Amino acid sequence: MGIPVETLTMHLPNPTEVATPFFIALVVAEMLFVRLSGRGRYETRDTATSLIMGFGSVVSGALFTFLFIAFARALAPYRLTDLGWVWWVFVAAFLLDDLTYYWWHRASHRIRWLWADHVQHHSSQHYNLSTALRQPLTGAFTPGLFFRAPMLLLGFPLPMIVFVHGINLVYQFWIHTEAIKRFPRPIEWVMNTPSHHRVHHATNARYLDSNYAGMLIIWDRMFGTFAAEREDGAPRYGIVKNLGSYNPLRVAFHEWVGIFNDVTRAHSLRDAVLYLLAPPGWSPDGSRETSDSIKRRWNEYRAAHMPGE
Amino acid sequence: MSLIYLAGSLGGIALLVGFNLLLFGRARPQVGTAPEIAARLAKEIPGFRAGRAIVGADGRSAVIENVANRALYLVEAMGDGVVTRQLSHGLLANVGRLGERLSLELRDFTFPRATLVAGSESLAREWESRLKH
Repeated sequence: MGIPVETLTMHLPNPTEVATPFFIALVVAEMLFVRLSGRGRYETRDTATSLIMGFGSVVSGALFTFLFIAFARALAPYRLTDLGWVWWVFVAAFLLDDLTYYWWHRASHRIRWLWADHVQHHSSQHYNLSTALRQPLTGAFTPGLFFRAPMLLLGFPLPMIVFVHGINLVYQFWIHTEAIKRFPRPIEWVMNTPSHHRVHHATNARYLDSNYAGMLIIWDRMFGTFAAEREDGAPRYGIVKNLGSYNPLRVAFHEWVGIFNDVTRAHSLRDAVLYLLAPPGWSPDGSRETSDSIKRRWNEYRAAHMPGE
Repeated sequence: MSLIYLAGSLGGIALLVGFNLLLFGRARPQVGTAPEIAARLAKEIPGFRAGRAIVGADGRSAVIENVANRALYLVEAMGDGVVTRQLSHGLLANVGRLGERLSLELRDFTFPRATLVAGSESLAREWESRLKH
């Protein structure tokens, strides 16, 4: 049983292409806001790197689309059903895509192979709308595609999967800003917002590995990874070891180079595998920092020196 | 994906980078004073207590000691922020000195070298010795 022809040919717009002019307009508006209000930061070379990487990501995505198509075709014989184009299927697709995004995102912070790609998005020390466009170039070299399998196997039409995922990514653009503080509580409780996502991009020990949501923050609340932004904890953005380069190629490949060096110098097959699959920062002797070790050290320090916290 | 889309995106990038430059200018990378660096690291590193420090005469880099664990940290200005590295033997590949100028080579793909202008040759020699041990 192949994928039905109508499932492959149903035309839906590419949300990212439609949204691109709005992205540009909103970045301009945010720059003006930051200049006039002093809330937020822009730096020319950082912005250039982010935008070039956004462009590179679109090109790389287009070049490797065939992988997704091939993957979908390979799974087609095993689809449980064909859900078709009914409104509730669209709703279910939005929800399920957001849930699988959550797990892909969480895995991308906890498995170094996936982190090597996702770290590129986190590599800016700034948090503004241009940061949203700093997208990875190397997704095709990760097993991230497998997170799409449940939706394909459940029988969601392929163009629908691509469309709802595009909507999800477009939604995430506007939450990369310091211009918006907080929304009313019901919205903050359900939706991923600028406040929640600032926490996700922060390197403060108390915020590490939290708020993986795409559109709905409820997944983090359900799976125990939610952290609220605190008035006394202004986020510091970037990664634990911030990069010393604006070169987009160095940004894109630095973690891959790190993995290559570690794997080729590993003393055993087990170490080599763990350099690839363990959390970022893992080392056989524990001499490097992982987000877990940073949080543990910080919690010990807080317990000893900040008992009122 | 059409060529018009790609060309428009490139045009948009040029426009945005130009607008960024127009509004915010070029950042003048500076690490700040030793107390400012210490305050920054105290926020980032639990238990950090500043010891001796040297800030480059050009203000672009500094080395500061953490009294809590005797570790040395290299701080380098980048854009409007800084990049920090704890200087371990695994990271520090080489330390060289030419007069008052210290050159540090790091085993770090995005941060391969740093230069510290010590301000005097004797100070540079003293820190060269500390960095090598």
